[in-house]
Amino acid sequence: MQENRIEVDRSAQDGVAVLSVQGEHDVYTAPSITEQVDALIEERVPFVIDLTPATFVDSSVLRVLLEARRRADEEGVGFAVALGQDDSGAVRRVLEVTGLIPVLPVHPARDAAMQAASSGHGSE
Amino acid sequence: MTSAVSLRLPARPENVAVVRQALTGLGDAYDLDADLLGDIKTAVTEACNNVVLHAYEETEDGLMEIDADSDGVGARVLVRDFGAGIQPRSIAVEERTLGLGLPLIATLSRSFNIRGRSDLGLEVEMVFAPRDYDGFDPLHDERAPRADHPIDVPRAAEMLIQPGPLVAPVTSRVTAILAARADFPLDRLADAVLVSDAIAAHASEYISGRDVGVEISDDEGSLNFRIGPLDTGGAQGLLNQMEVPGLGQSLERLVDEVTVERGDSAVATETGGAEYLALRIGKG
Repeated sequence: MQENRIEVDRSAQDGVAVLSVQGEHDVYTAPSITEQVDALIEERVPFVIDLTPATFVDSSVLRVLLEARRRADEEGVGFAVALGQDDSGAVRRVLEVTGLIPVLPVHPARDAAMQAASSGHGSE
Repeated sequence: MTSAVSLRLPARPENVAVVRQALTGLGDAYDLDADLLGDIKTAVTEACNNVVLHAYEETEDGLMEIDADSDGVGARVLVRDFGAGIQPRSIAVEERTLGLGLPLIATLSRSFNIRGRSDLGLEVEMVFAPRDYDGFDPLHDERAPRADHPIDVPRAAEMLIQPGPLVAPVTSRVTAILAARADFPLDRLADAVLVSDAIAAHASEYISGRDVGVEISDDEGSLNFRIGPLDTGGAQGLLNQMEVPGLGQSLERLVDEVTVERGDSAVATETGGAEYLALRIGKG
Protein backbone atom coordinates (compact mmCIF):
# COMPACT_ATOMS: atom_id res chain seq x y z
CA MET A 1 0.00 0.00 0.00
CA GLN A 2 1.42 3.40 -0.99
CA GLU A 3 1.91 5.79 1.88
CA ASN A 4 -0.33 8.85 1.89
CA ARG A 5 1.87 11.86 2.50
CA ILE A 6 2.15 15.58 1.89
CA GLU A 7 5.67 16.96 1.51
CA VAL A 8 6.84 20.51 0.94
CA ASP A 9 10.19 21.00 -0.81
CA ARG A 10 11.40 24.57 -0.53
CA SER A 11 14.84 23.88 -1.99
CA ALA A 12 13.72 23.73 -5.61
CA GLN A 13 14.73 26.18 -8.34
CA ASP A 14 13.89 29.90 -8.49
CA GLY A 15 12.50 29.98 -4.96
CA VAL A 16 9.41 28.00 -5.99
CA ALA A 17 8.21 25.53 -3.37
CA VAL A 18 6.72 22.19 -4.39
CA LEU A 19 3.87 20.75 -2.33
CA SER A 20 3.91 17.09 -3.27
CA VAL A 21 0.65 15.18 -2.72
CA GLN A 22 1.41 11.47 -2.51
CA GLY A 23 -1.01 8.54 -2.38
CA GLU A 24 -4.72 8.91 -1.57
CA HIS A 25 -6.19 12.15 -0.23
CA ASP A 26 -9.75 12.95 0.71
CA VAL A 27 -11.98 14.72 3.22
CA TYR A 28 -9.77 13.45 6.06
CA THR A 29 -6.44 14.74 4.75
CA ALA A 30 -7.60 17.82 2.76
CA PRO A 31 -7.29 20.08 5.85
CA SER A 32 -3.58 19.16 6.10
CA ILE A 33 -3.04 20.27 2.50
CA THR A 34 -4.88 23.52 3.28
CA GLU A 35 -2.55 24.15 6.22
CA GLN A 36 0.52 23.85 3.99
CA VAL A 37 -1.04 26.04 1.30
CA ASP A 38 -1.96 28.71 3.85
CA ALA A 39 1.60 28.75 5.22
CA LEU A 40 3.12 29.21 1.75
CA ILE A 41 0.72 31.99 0.82
CA GLU A 42 1.28 33.79 4.14
CA GLU A 43 5.04 33.63 3.50
CA ARG A 44 4.41 34.78 -0.09
CA VAL A 45 6.35 31.81 -1.50
CA PRO A 46 5.37 30.89 -5.08
CA PHE A 47 4.41 27.23 -5.17
CA VAL A 48 3.36 24.23 -7.22
CA ILE A 49 0.93 21.60 -6.00
CA ASP A 50 2.32 18.44 -7.59
CA LEU A 51 -0.35 15.75 -8.00
CA THR A 52 1.93 13.45 -10.03
CA PRO A 53 2.44 11.02 -7.11
CA ALA A 54 -1.22 11.20 -6.03
CA THR A 55 -3.29 8.07 -6.70
CA PHE A 56 -6.66 9.41 -5.57
CA VAL A 57 -8.22 12.78 -4.76
CA ASP A 58 -11.84 13.59 -3.97
CA SER A 59 -13.87 16.79 -4.24
CA SER A 60 -12.54 18.00 -0.87
CA VAL A 61 -9.07 18.14 -2.42
CA LEU A 62 -10.44 19.82 -5.57
CA ARG A 63 -11.86 22.50 -3.32
CA VAL A 64 -8.43 22.98 -1.72
CA LEU A 65 -6.89 23.41 -5.20
CA LEU A 66 -9.47 26.01 -6.24
CA GLU A 67 -9.17 27.84 -2.95
CA ALA A 68 -5.36 27.85 -3.32
CA ARG A 69 -5.72 29.37 -6.78
CA ARG A 70 -8.14 32.03 -5.53
CA ARG A 71 -5.98 33.04 -2.59
CA ALA A 72 -2.76 32.99 -4.62
CA ASP A 73 -4.42 35.30 -7.16
CA GLU A 74 -5.61 37.65 -4.43
CA GLU A 75 -2.21 37.78 -2.75
CA GLY A 76 -0.21 37.91 -5.98
CA VAL A 77 1.64 34.69 -5.18
CA GLY A 78 2.70 32.43 -8.07
CA PHE A 79 0.74 29.17 -8.17
CA ALA A 80 0.39 26.23 -10.53
CA VAL A 81 -0.66 22.57 -10.48
CA ALA A 82 1.35 19.69 -11.97
CA LEU A 83 -0.38 16.45 -12.89
CA GLY A 84 2.28 14.40 -14.66
CA GLN A 85 2.46 13.09 -18.19
CA ASP A 86 0.32 9.99 -17.67
CA ASP A 87 -2.91 10.26 -19.66
CA SER A 88 -4.77 7.79 -17.43
CA GLY A 89 -5.35 7.46 -13.73
CA ALA A 90 -8.04 8.35 -11.21
CA VAL A 91 -6.66 11.84 -10.43
CA ARG A 92 -6.63 12.99 -14.06
CA ARG A 93 -10.07 11.44 -14.51
CA VAL A 94 -11.63 13.42 -11.64
CA LEU A 95 -10.03 16.66 -12.87
CA GLU A 96 -11.28 15.98 -16.39
CA VAL A 97 -14.88 15.15 -15.50
CA THR A 98 -15.14 18.21 -13.26
CA GLY A 99 -13.68 20.43 -16.01
CA LEU A 100 -11.00 21.82 -13.72
CA ILE A 101 -7.92 21.19 -15.90
CA PRO A 102 -8.16 24.51 -17.79
CA VAL A 103 -9.53 26.34 -14.75
CA LEU A 104 -6.67 25.70 -12.32
CA PRO A 105 -4.77 25.45 -14.79
CA VAL A 106 -2.95 22.12 -14.79
CA HIS A 107 0.49 21.59 -16.34
CA PRO A 108 1.56 18.11 -17.38
CA ALA A 109 5.19 18.52 -16.27
CA ARG A 110 6.42 19.71 -12.89
CA ASP A 111 9.12 21.86 -14.53
CA ALA A 112 6.55 23.72 -16.63
CA ALA A 113 4.38 24.22 -13.55
CA MET A 114 7.36 25.58 -11.61
CA GLN A 115 8.22 27.96 -14.42
CA ALA A 116 4.62 29.19 -14.48
CA ALA A 117 4.55 29.66 -10.71
CA SER A 118 7.92 31.42 -10.80
CA SER A 119 6.77 33.89 -13.43
CA GLY A 120 3.52 34.47 -11.56
CA HIS A 121 1.45 33.35 -14.55
CA GLY A 122 0.51 29.91 -13.26
CA SER A 123 -3.12 30.69 -12.62
CA GLU A 124 -3.90 33.22 -15.26
CA MET B 1 -30.29 -7.35 -2.64
CA THR B 2 -27.84 -9.90 -1.37
CA SER B 3 -24.59 -8.04 -0.93
CA ALA B 4 -21.19 -9.62 -1.42
CA VAL B 5 -19.74 -7.20 1.12
CA SER B 6 -21.49 -5.16 3.79
CA LEU B 7 -19.63 -2.62 5.89
CA ARG B 8 -20.77 -0.76 9.00
CA LEU B 9 -18.58 2.09 10.20
CA PRO B 10 -18.75 5.21 12.36
CA ALA B 11 -19.45 8.13 9.99
CA ARG B 12 -16.07 9.81 10.40
CA PRO B 13 -13.76 11.34 7.76
CA GLU B 14 -10.95 8.82 8.41
CA ASN B 15 -13.26 5.92 7.59
CA VAL B 16 -13.96 6.92 3.99
CA ALA B 17 -10.51 5.53 3.04
CA VAL B 18 -11.45 2.24 4.77
CA VAL B 19 -14.47 1.99 2.45
CA ARG B 20 -12.21 2.56 -0.58
CA GLN B 21 -9.87 -0.21 0.56
CA ALA B 22 -12.79 -2.64 0.94
CA LEU B 23 -13.92 -1.71 -2.60
CA THR B 24 -10.37 -2.27 -3.85
CA GLY B 25 -10.55 -5.75 -2.30
CA LEU B 26 -13.83 -6.33 -4.15
CA GLY B 27 -12.16 -5.14 -7.36
CA ASP B 28 -9.19 -7.47 -6.77
CA ALA B 29 -11.46 -10.46 -6.15
CA TYR B 30 -13.53 -9.86 -9.29
CA ASP B 31 -10.63 -8.54 -11.39
CA LEU B 32 -12.64 -5.42 -12.21
CA ASP B 33 -11.32 -3.05 -14.87
CA ALA B 34 -8.94 -0.56 -13.22
CA ASP B 35 -10.62 2.54 -14.70
CA LEU B 36 -14.07 1.31 -13.67
CA LEU B 37 -12.79 0.61 -10.15
CA GLY B 38 -11.37 4.14 -10.07
CA ASP B 39 -14.79 5.56 -10.97
CA ILE B 40 -16.46 3.37 -8.32
CA LYS B 41 -14.04 4.57 -5.64
CA THR B 42 -14.52 8.23 -6.60
CA ALA B 43 -18.32 8.10 -6.69
CA VAL B 44 -18.62 6.05 -3.49
CA THR B 45 -16.18 8.40 -1.73
CA GLU B 46 -18.47 11.32 -2.63
CA ALA B 47 -21.52 9.46 -1.30
CA CYS B 48 -19.62 8.67 1.91
CA ASN B 49 -18.50 12.32 2.18
CA ASN B 50 -22.17 13.24 2.13
CA VAL B 51 -22.77 10.95 5.11
CA VAL B 52 -19.70 12.14 7.00
CA LEU B 53 -20.33 15.86 6.43
CA HIS B 54 -24.10 16.16 6.32
CA ALA B 55 -25.99 13.22 7.82
CA TYR B 56 -25.32 13.78 11.49
CA GLU B 57 -24.65 16.58 13.92
CA GLU B 58 -20.93 17.09 14.58
CA THR B 59 -21.30 15.89 18.15
CA GLU B 60 -23.17 12.77 17.09
CA ASP B 61 -21.38 9.48 16.25
CA GLY B 62 -23.56 8.24 13.41
CA LEU B 63 -23.60 5.04 11.39
CA MET B 64 -22.43 4.71 7.78
CA GLU B 65 -23.40 1.50 5.96
CA ILE B 66 -22.12 0.29 2.62
CA ASP B 67 -23.39 -2.69 0.62
CA ALA B 68 -21.38 -3.69 -2.43
CA ASP B 69 -21.80 -6.38 -5.04
CA SER B 70 -20.24 -7.25 -8.39
CA ASP B 71 -20.77 -9.70 -11.23
CA GLY B 72 -17.18 -9.45 -12.39
CA VAL B 73 -17.90 -6.77 -15.00
CA GLY B 74 -20.04 -4.19 -13.24
CA ALA B 75 -20.74 -3.36 -9.62
CA ARG B 76 -23.52 -2.01 -7.47
CA VAL B 77 -22.86 -0.04 -4.29
CA LEU B 78 -25.32 1.34 -1.78
CA VAL B 79 -24.31 3.94 0.81
CA ARG B 80 -26.76 4.42 3.65
CA ASP B 81 -27.04 6.66 6.70
CA PHE B 82 -29.60 7.00 9.45
CA GLY B 83 -29.35 10.73 9.92
CA ALA B 84 -31.52 13.70 9.24
CA GLY B 85 -32.37 12.78 5.66
CA ILE B 86 -32.74 15.42 2.97
CA GLN B 87 -32.59 18.80 4.64
CA PRO B 88 -31.83 22.34 3.47
CA ARG B 89 -28.10 22.95 3.86
CA SER B 90 -26.10 25.98 4.70
CA ILE B 91 -23.48 27.24 2.25
CA ALA B 92 -20.76 26.93 4.88
CA VAL B 93 -21.09 23.15 5.14
CA GLU B 94 -21.37 22.68 1.38
CA GLU B 95 -18.15 24.60 0.86
CA ARG B 96 -16.04 21.71 2.12
CA THR B 97 -16.64 19.68 -1.06
CA LEU B 98 -17.69 22.38 -3.56
CA GLY B 99 -21.03 20.64 -4.05
CA LEU B 100 -19.35 18.41 -6.61
CA GLY B 101 -20.34 15.14 -4.96
CA LEU B 102 -23.64 14.57 -6.69
CA PRO B 103 -22.45 15.66 -10.16
CA LEU B 104 -19.49 13.26 -9.80
CA ILE B 105 -21.80 10.41 -8.79
CA ALA B 106 -24.09 11.22 -11.74
CA THR B 107 -21.19 11.37 -14.20
CA LEU B 108 -19.26 8.32 -13.06
CA SER B 109 -22.12 5.87 -12.40
CA ARG B 110 -24.16 4.07 -15.02
CA SER B 111 -27.26 4.89 -12.98
CA PHE B 112 -27.96 6.07 -9.48
CA ASN B 113 -30.88 6.46 -7.16
CA ILE B 114 -31.28 8.54 -4.01
CA ARG B 115 -33.95 7.57 -1.53
CA GLY B 116 -34.74 9.16 1.77
CA ARG B 117 -37.22 10.71 4.08
CA SER B 118 -36.75 13.31 6.73
CA ASP B 119 -35.38 11.73 9.94
CA LEU B 120 -35.07 8.28 8.37
CA GLY B 121 -31.75 8.77 6.69
CA LEU B 122 -30.67 8.55 3.10
CA GLU B 123 -29.67 5.81 0.69
CA VAL B 124 -27.58 6.45 -2.41
CA GLU B 125 -27.49 3.44 -4.71
CA MET B 126 -25.10 3.43 -7.66
CA VAL B 127 -24.62 0.99 -10.52
CA PHE B 128 -21.30 0.95 -12.38
CA ALA B 129 -20.70 -0.88 -15.66
CA PRO B 130 -18.85 -0.36 -18.93
CA ARG B 131 -20.86 1.52 -21.57
CA ASP B 132 -21.35 -1.49 -23.83
CA TYR B 133 -22.33 -3.93 -21.09
CA ASP B 134 -25.98 -4.75 -20.53
CA GLY B 135 -25.61 -7.82 -18.36
CA PHE B 136 -25.62 -6.19 -14.96
CA ASP B 137 -28.94 -6.05 -13.16
CA PRO B 138 -30.72 -2.71 -13.11
CA LEU B 139 -31.35 -1.02 -9.79
CA HIS B 140 -33.52 -3.15 -7.55
CA ASP B 141 -36.96 -2.15 -6.39
CA GLU B 142 -37.22 0.99 -4.38
CA ARG B 143 -36.69 0.42 -0.72
CA ALA B 144 -37.07 3.11 1.87
CA PRO B 145 -34.51 3.37 4.66
CA ARG B 146 -35.57 1.05 7.43
CA ALA B 147 -36.80 2.80 10.53
CA ASP B 148 -36.59 -0.45 12.52
CA HIS B 149 -32.95 -1.07 11.64
CA PRO B 150 -30.71 -1.37 14.68
CA ILE B 151 -28.71 1.86 14.72
CA ASP B 152 -25.91 0.88 17.07
CA VAL B 153 -22.67 2.41 15.87
CA PRO B 154 -19.70 0.02 15.82
CA ARG B 155 -16.35 1.10 17.26
CA ALA B 156 -14.59 0.51 13.96
CA ALA B 157 -15.05 -1.55 10.79
CA GLU B 158 -17.70 -4.27 10.92
CA MET B 159 -17.85 -6.42 7.81
CA LEU B 160 -20.10 -9.17 6.55
CA ILE B 161 -18.49 -10.89 3.57
CA GLN B 162 -19.83 -13.62 1.32
CA PRO B 163 -17.80 -16.80 1.97
CA GLY B 164 -15.30 -17.57 -0.77
CA PRO B 165 -12.65 -15.63 -2.65
CA LEU B 166 -13.85 -12.21 -1.47
CA VAL B 167 -12.94 -12.70 2.18
CA ALA B 168 -9.14 -12.55 1.88
CA PRO B 169 -8.74 -9.46 -0.34
CA VAL B 170 -11.35 -7.42 1.51
CA THR B 171 -10.14 -8.25 5.03
CA SER B 172 -6.46 -7.86 4.16
CA ARG B 173 -7.01 -4.43 2.55
CA VAL B 174 -9.04 -3.21 5.53
CA THR B 175 -6.50 -4.71 7.96
CA ALA B 176 -3.61 -2.97 6.21
CA ILE B 177 -5.17 0.50 6.25
CA LEU B 178 -6.24 0.21 9.90
CA ALA B 179 -2.76 -1.03 10.88
CA ALA B 180 -1.18 1.85 8.96
CA ARG B 181 -3.57 4.26 10.65
CA ALA B 182 -2.52 2.87 14.05
CA ASP B 183 1.14 3.58 13.11
CA PHE B 184 2.14 -0.09 12.95
CA PRO B 185 5.74 -0.55 11.77
CA LEU B 186 5.97 -2.43 8.47
CA ASP B 187 6.87 -5.80 10.02
CA ARG B 188 3.88 -5.74 12.37
CA LEU B 189 1.62 -4.51 9.57
CA ALA B 190 2.76 -7.55 7.57
CA ASP B 191 2.04 -9.76 10.62
CA ALA B 192 -1.47 -8.31 10.87
CA VAL B 193 -2.11 -9.05 7.19
CA LEU B 194 -0.83 -12.63 7.70
CA VAL B 195 -3.31 -13.09 10.54
CA SER B 196 -6.06 -11.58 8.37
CA ASP B 197 -5.21 -14.05 5.57
CA ALA B 198 -5.23 -16.95 8.03
CA ILE B 199 -8.69 -15.87 9.26
CA ALA B 200 -9.91 -15.56 5.66
CA ALA B 201 -8.61 -19.01 4.73
CA HIS B 202 -10.68 -20.86 7.34
CA ALA B 203 -13.43 -18.68 8.83
CA SER B 204 -16.01 -19.85 6.27
CA GLU B 205 -15.84 -23.37 7.73
CA TYR B 206 -17.04 -22.23 11.17
CA ILE B 207 -19.54 -19.41 10.57
CA SER B 208 -23.01 -19.87 11.98
CA GLY B 209 -24.65 -17.34 9.65
CA ARG B 210 -24.64 -16.89 5.89
CA ASP B 211 -21.66 -14.55 5.76
CA VAL B 212 -18.24 -14.26 7.36
CA GLY B 213 -18.43 -11.59 10.05
CA VAL B 214 -15.19 -9.75 10.82
CA GLU B 215 -14.85 -6.68 13.00
CA ILE B 216 -11.49 -4.87 12.99
CA SER B 217 -10.75 -1.95 15.29
CA ASP B 218 -7.62 0.06 15.94
CA ASP B 219 -7.43 0.95 19.60
CA GLU B 220 -4.49 2.27 21.60
CA GLY B 221 -1.75 0.91 19.37
CA SER B 222 -3.44 -2.43 18.82
CA LEU B 223 -5.46 -4.01 16.08
CA ASN B 224 -8.38 -6.07 17.33
CA PHE B 225 -10.06 -8.74 15.22
CA ARG B 226 -13.40 -10.22 16.21
CA ILE B 227 -14.61 -13.06 14.01
CA GLY B 228 -18.15 -14.42 14.26
CA PRO B 229 -20.77 -15.40 15.01
CA LEU B 230 -19.30 -18.90 14.82
CA ASP B 231 -20.78 -22.32 15.45
CA THR B 232 -20.44 -23.67 18.97
CA GLY B 233 -16.82 -24.82 19.25
CA GLY B 234 -16.03 -22.88 16.10
CA ALA B 235 -13.73 -20.38 17.77
CA GLN B 236 -11.36 -23.12 18.95
CA GLY B 237 -11.72 -24.92 15.63
CA LEU B 238 -10.77 -21.80 13.72
CA LEU B 239 -7.90 -21.14 16.07
CA ASN B 240 -6.56 -24.66 15.51
CA GLN B 241 -6.74 -24.17 11.75
CA MET B 242 -4.99 -20.82 11.77
CA GLU B 243 -1.49 -21.98 11.09
CA VAL B 244 0.12 -19.17 9.20
CA PRO B 245 1.24 -20.60 5.84
CA GLY B 246 4.96 -21.32 5.83
CA LEU B 247 5.40 -20.48 9.50
CA GLY B 248 3.82 -23.48 11.18
CA GLN B 249 2.23 -23.07 14.60
CA SER B 250 3.32 -19.47 14.95
CA LEU B 251 0.05 -17.66 15.53
CA GLU B 252 1.00 -17.22 19.18
CA ARG B 253 4.04 -15.28 18.07
CA LEU B 254 2.01 -12.96 15.86
CA VAL B 255 -0.89 -12.11 18.16
CA ASP B 256 -0.70 -10.74 21.68
CA GLU B 257 -4.02 -11.97 22.97
CA VAL B 258 -6.55 -14.63 22.03
CA THR B 259 -10.03 -14.70 23.55
CA VAL B 260 -13.08 -16.82 22.87
CA GLU B 261 -16.21 -14.77 23.52
CA ARG B 262 -19.65 -16.17 23.97
CA GLY B 263 -22.22 -13.50 23.37
CA ASP B 264 -25.68 -12.77 22.18
CA SER B 265 -26.42 -11.68 18.67
CA ALA B 266 -29.52 -11.71 16.55
CA VAL B 267 -27.75 -13.86 13.98
CA ALA B 268 -26.37 -16.21 16.60
CA THR B 269 -29.76 -16.72 18.16
CA GLU B 270 -31.35 -17.48 14.81
CA THR B 271 -28.72 -19.99 13.78
CA GLY B 272 -27.64 -21.55 17.04
CA GLY B 273 -24.12 -20.14 16.99
CA ALA B 274 -22.94 -17.92 19.79
CA GLU B 275 -19.18 -17.65 19.66
CA TYR B 276 -16.66 -15.07 18.58
CA LEU B 277 -12.91 -15.41 18.26
CA ALA B 278 -11.14 -12.23 19.35
CA LEU B 279 -7.48 -11.58 18.52
CA ARG B 280 -5.39 -8.59 19.57
CA ILE B 281 -2.19 -7.63 17.76
CA GLY B 282 -0.01 -4.93 19.28
CA LYS B 283 2.21 -2.79 17.12
CA GLY B 284 5.24 -4.23 18.95
